[in-house]
This record gives sequence, C-alpha cells and structure tokens, in this order.
Amino acid sequence: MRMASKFNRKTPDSNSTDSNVSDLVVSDLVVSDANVSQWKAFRIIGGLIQLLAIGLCLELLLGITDGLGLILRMSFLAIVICCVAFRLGWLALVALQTSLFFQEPIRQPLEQISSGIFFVILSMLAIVAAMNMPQTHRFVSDLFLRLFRSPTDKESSTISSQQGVFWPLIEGSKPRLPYAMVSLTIHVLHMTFVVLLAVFLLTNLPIGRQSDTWLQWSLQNGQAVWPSVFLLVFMVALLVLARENSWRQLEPAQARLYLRSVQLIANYRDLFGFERQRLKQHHKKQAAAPQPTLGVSRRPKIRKNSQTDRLGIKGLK
Amino acid sequence: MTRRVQLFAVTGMIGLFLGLVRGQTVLSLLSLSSLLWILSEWLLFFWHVRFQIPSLEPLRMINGEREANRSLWADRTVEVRVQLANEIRLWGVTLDLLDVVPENLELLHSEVKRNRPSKSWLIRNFVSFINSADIDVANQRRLEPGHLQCAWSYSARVRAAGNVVFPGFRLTLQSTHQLFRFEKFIQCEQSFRALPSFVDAGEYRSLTKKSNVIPRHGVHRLLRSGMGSELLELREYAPGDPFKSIAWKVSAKRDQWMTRQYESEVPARVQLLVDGSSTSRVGGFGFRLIDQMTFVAASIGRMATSAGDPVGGVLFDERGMRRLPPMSGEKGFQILLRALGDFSINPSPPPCVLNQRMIDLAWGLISQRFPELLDFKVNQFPFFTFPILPIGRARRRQRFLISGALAEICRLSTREQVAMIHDDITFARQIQELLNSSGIPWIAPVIAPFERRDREPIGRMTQLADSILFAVGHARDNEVFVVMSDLLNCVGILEFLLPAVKLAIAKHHRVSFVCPTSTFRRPSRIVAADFAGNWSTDDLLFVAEQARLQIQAEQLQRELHRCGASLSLSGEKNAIRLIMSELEAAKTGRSKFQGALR
Repeated sequence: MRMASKFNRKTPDSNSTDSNVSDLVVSDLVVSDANVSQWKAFRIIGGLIQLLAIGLCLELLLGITDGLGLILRMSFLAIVICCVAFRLGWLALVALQTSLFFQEPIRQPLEQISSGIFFVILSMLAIVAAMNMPQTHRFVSDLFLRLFRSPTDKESSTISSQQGVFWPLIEGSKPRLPYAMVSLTIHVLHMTFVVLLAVFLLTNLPIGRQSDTWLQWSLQNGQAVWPSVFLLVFMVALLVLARENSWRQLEPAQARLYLRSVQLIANYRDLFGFERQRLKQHHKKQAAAPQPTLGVSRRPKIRKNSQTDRLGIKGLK
Repeated sequence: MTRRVQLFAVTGMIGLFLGLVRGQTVLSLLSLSSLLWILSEWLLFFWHVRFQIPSLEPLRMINGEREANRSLWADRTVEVRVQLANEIRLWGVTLDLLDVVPENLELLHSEVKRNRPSKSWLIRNFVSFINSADIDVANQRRLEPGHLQCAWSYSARVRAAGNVVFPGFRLTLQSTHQLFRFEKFIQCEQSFRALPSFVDAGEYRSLTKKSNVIPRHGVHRLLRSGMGSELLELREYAPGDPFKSIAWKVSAKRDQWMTRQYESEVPARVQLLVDGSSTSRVGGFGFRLIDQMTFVAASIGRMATSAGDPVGGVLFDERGMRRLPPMSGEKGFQILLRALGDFSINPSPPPCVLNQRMIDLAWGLISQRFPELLDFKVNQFPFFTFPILPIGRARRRQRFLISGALAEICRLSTREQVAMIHDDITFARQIQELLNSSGIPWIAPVIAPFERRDREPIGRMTQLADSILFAVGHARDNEVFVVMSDLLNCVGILEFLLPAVKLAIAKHHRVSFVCPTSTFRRPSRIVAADFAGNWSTDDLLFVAEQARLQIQAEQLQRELHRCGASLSLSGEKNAIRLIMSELEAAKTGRSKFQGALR
C-alpha cells in the first residue's frame, strides 16, 4: 500500500553494526512458547535478587554508611545498585578505593597487610560479579527455572518450537549447576592467586619501607641502583621482541596497509600539493566549460492539444 | 582493549600511587590486585587470540551442499547450515559467530524481541538489565566458555534474481567481563547465481471465439515443416469470419451459417526486450522494477517454451545490448533464466554526491568485513590541525581510516588515496563501488534519493527504439515483441519511440508493452472509502502518486493503442496473460485477440 514503507524495509543490514554485541545474548536454555513467560518472570526475579545481593555486599564492604541515617543509607545503597546494574565495575572500585583512602590509617606497616587479604579478595569478587552481570544474570534466571520446573517439563525445555531451526550442540556438556560451581571456584582461586601475587610484589619490590633498604644498598655499591641496568636491557630486548612478534602477526593486507600508511605520512605534503593543484584545475575547467543543455530542451517542438494542457503535461502528437 | 578496561587500569594506578605515597597497605593491595587481575585477564585473552582463533574453521552448507557456483531461485527458501569443523575450548571468553548474510537474502524465523526503547539512557539501561532483551538472530550464535562444538542452521529467502554471495563469518571474541574485544572476519565466500522466479499465469485464452482465425493477406505464419493446420471444430459463423472458411454443406443441413475452425500448432516467436537502465534498478532487492520485469519475462518464457514456442530476447541498458537468439525447450529456458539472472546484477551505480550517511554505511561495512584494516596500529594517518572541534576531528579521522582501508581493498595508489581524502567526488565514487560490490542495493545512500527520476529520458527512449529496431532486424515474421520498460515517466517524449513501434507493427509483428510500477499495482484512482477516514501523510502521498500515474497511464495507453500496440501497467499475472493472449493471437494470425485479460 505504501511505497515508502516497502523500500524502507530494505535498509542494509550493515546499518545494524552499531548495535552492541553484548546485547546479542542468546540463552542456552531455549524454552518452548508455553514457558517463555515463566522464564521471563524468573529472569526478572533473578535479576532483582542478584542486584540486591551484590549491592548489599558492596555496601557492607564499603562500610562508610555505618553512622548514617536510614534514608542516607538507602540512598547510598540505591546508588551502589545502579552502579552494579549498569555494569560499572570500575565505579565500584573507585568507591572502595575512596572508602579506604579516607578510613584506612596512614603509614601502616607492611606486616599488617595479611589482615586485609580477605577483605581484598571479597572486594575483588564483588567487583568481578558486578562486571560480569549478563552471564551471572542469565545463569541465575536459568537456575531458577530449572529448580522450580516439574520433571515432566524437562523435554519441552530443550525444544525450540518457536524457531525450529535453532539448536546448540553442546557435546559433553555437564549440568549447569556443577559447571557454575566449578566456574565460581576457579574465579575464587584466580582472585586469591592474584591477591597473593600482589602481596608478594608489595612486600618484595623496593617500594614503601623496602625502598630505604634498597637505597642504602645502592649507595654502598658505588651509587648504582642494582636492577636498573639489568632492567633496561631486559626491557629493550622485550620491546624488540614484542615489535617483531606484532609485525609477524600481521596479516598480508594489514602489512601492506601499514607500509602504505608509512609512505603516506612521509610524502603527505607533496601528495596533498599535487591533489590540490589537480582540484584547482578541475574547478577551473568546470567553470570555463559551457553549461550543458538539458536533454528535454532539445526536444523538437511539439504540437499541444487541449486535453494534455488541461492535465498539465506537455502535449503529444 | 575496551574503554572499560582503560578506566579500570587508570583507577587502579591512581589508587596504587596514592596508597604507596600515603602508606595505606590495603588500598595499595586492592589497587595492585586490580591491575594484576587485568593483566591475567589479558594474558588469557591473548592466548585465545593467538592459539584458539586461528584454528577456528567454520563451514557453511547451502541446501545440504558445500559447493558454490550453483543456482538458487528467487522467492524460494534456502537452508543454510553452519558448523565448526573443529573443536574449540574457551576459558573466560565468549565468542560470537555471525554468518554474514547478503542483502539479497531475507532471514526467516529470525526474531528480534526488544523492549520498547526509552528515550532516557538511565531508564533504558536499567530496564535492559532487569528484563534484558533477547535477540534471536538466526545467523548468529554465541559460544559460552566451555563449549566445544557448535552447529546451527537457519533458513532464508532469496529476494530477487541476480547473485547471492555469502562473504564469510564475523568473529567477535570478548572476555566475559567485557574488558577486551577482538574482531575478525573469516573469508568463506560462496557465490550463487539467483535465477528469477516464474509462475504459471493460468488460462489466458478467451472462452468465446469472436474473430477470424485465418490470417489476413500479407500476414505469414512462421512455418515449420511437417506441421500444418487441421480441422478443430465447426462453430457458428461470427461476423468477420472469412467466407472461404464457411462450411457450406453443414450450413445447408443445419440451416445456419457454420464456420470451420482450424487447429493451430504453428509456433510463434516471442522476443523479450528488457530495459535494465538505472531507473529500473533503484530500490531494494525484490522491489526493483527489473525484478518485476525478469519475473514477467521468466514466466512468459516458461509458458511459451512449454507450448513449444521459441523465446528470444534483447537485454539492454547503459552498457549496451545483448541479444539472446530464439531458444526452445527446457535447455533454452534455462539459458534464458541464466541470462536474466546475470542481467539482474546491478552494475556500477550512477555518481552521487557524498553525504554523511554514505560514509557511515561504508564505515559499518568495513567494520564488519574488514575490521583488521581499521586498526590504528596499521592504518596510520598524518597529524592534522584542522578542524579543531571534536566532532569535526572525529569525522576527519574516520575519513582517513576509510580512505586507507578502501585503498587497500581496491588496491589504489597512495596518490589516489590522498585524492579520496580531499576530493569528495572521488571518495563518493569509491564508496559507491565498495557498497555495490558488497551487494548493497541501490537505495539511499548508495545513490541519491529520488534517483528513480530519469536523468536521460530521451537517451533511454532512443536506446529502447534502437533495441526494437535491432530486434526487428533479427526477426522473421509475425513475432511478438514484449517490451518491458518503465515508460510512465516518459509519456511526453514518446515520439522518439513510436516510429520504431510503428515499423515493427508494419513488419507484421505484434508489440506489447509491460510497464511495471514501483507500487506493484496498476495505477488507479483512490477513493476516500479505501482508507476509512484514517488519512496519514503516507496515504496522501500515495494517493497523489497514484493520481499522477493514472493520468500518465491513460495517456500512454492512448498513444500506444493508436499505434496498434498493447500495454499492461503491472508486472504481475495480468501482464503475463496479456502477452500470452498476444502470442495466441499471433499463432492464429488474427489482428487482435479479443477477450484477453489486460
């Protein structure tokens, strides 16, 4: 019926490339039509519970609202939940750092670092959970659905009657709950390792109190900082290796483009001058050329008739 | 590295610095831990990029077969199955695998369920979290950590004749926390020729005999040895029947004038003249005028070859003419379909003024198919001072990057690359070439809006007349010329065409015009009752357009009928019936086939 709408439907698919890939989330749990609404409900409930849990956890970790009233406390909690909902994990890190900046005593001995390890591990896990919202959200909602579904519905839960052509082959896949527990354990172990490594670095590198010892040692050894030469050579070698590796990793088209870019940057002024000259000449030619006559004006004289004149269209023979 | 990880790293470094300066151990530990966590995530991600992605080999099967260079049919469904040839193991990353579908394919069973978008960024994000949008894109799959193998299939419909090129797969690897992202396009090109669809238009013969079956003097049938006319039946005499066909004895017995009607098995040639000029190629696939023309041509070819009539043609556009000699049988029909399919492929589009939408579309296409060429590390450009404003600088940077990528894709010299940077005409031309070669249809911004208006109507009419004369020169006698062209906008300049039509008719040929419309409908007057009082702007525009077309159609019909040619103003079954009626009339040798559906 409408011509414009027909043509608008044919807009190129490439226009959709600006959509965020993170939004293109397809759940592994493909449910049938009858269970879609149930699944959506669990999804909403799971999301809300998860938000509340992580928000409370972060609020407890921050601990800066202990002396505040209920309204301020709830407001702060709402802000934290919003940060989590928008996947702003770095903002949670900023909040934690700010809290520590104002509450932690200054000039603390490094020996007391062990007392903060558990706190840091918990904080990092909360931040990671906040950043990992889409996956955990989907997992929680799927878990709710599986827990509250009757065993008779099991078959229908794996059939996609809506799409009919859309199924994942998960060979050797394990049940989701143990898999999630394993994943959680790996995350905890990973975070513990990271924090312990940080403790090791803080206690062994020449920073803080250790820096005085290193300085005295260096002064006693001819005023040379011991690791500097070694570090310099090591860093230069590492840089050369990294550049070589990155060059070898380039695809042929990328390598050609890189060389072309280098050539372009080197000769840009000259090339730009040539191009500017060419454009000037082109514009001059255009200005000097006579205006082309329109094709319609070359038409022979046509006898008009009254009917076509009435319709506003040039006459016919 | 995404913006998120940059913010995270900056926050961690600031916190570490402050913690060390102030001697706050927990703050230092937290900040350093966050930095180390980012480093560990990067190492894991780098391992995937370095060792897992290169071994990834997706395969695609079209209708159960992997071989390309086969034929597909327009308006029919294609089954596509995608699978990974080898196993892949992902840890802490997700992989999005998108099979890039050409524009000539319409995905079926692909459902996008989106929440109603809110204008507020805050509300939109919060709602998207609480009830996150589920997008089932049939040609995309997401591999979660731990997945080993993946296979899925989807179906699509071929929109129009031409070609269907599956370019490859787009991979997006990103860490589960969305800290790092890597995009790559895996070339897996499969090219298919899309043949035009056709339809059996049903019974086109009139149920009543109203005119003479004997050819007039001077009208010769296309003779074929061994085949002649035999008596089919006796019927009542109708005014106009020749006296020599009167069955005298039977008339005397019945006391009523009776006429002998002969069976005609003499084949008549059909010449299809298809106008593929630029005005007929504007629009999305399946909505172009040339799609209607190829549909009509293929349907006529099917019905004519089924009846044993040879079908030839002249395909012409701005590039020139191509003659198809008369062919019959199934093989001839296949050759005709292949020629029509190849003819439907869009050539280079007419030049267009550069605009931002065109640049954005080119950016999107290059980002999708050549993401590695937009990397700042390899696609470098010189420093520039102007423009100073951030928006202007961003656009300038975008133009530099697109020019570099285009120069690499089209293998241009450095000087041509600089010309693209500074000359809008050259830049627009290269972008048009890229978009056209990537299978983007001729719609804005590939061409200028309202490009459907004819630029050179007289040139097109002259070319049409030349092609008719060319076909007449190669024709024998009593053939049916089917001219498929958009004549509605050329009503005022028919004098360039009519002499050729008159010549063809004078040579005892029949000329029928099929003039498709962009609305797929015959122009008709719209009455207010059609819209039931709900008039929108689109409705008003549509009514105005229909009124204009109606006037032009009446004039066109009058002029062509005056010459003796017939006209159909739709590219659908009615046009096919008209042509087949003319063909039937040509077989019987009558001057005009009455009772045909027009």
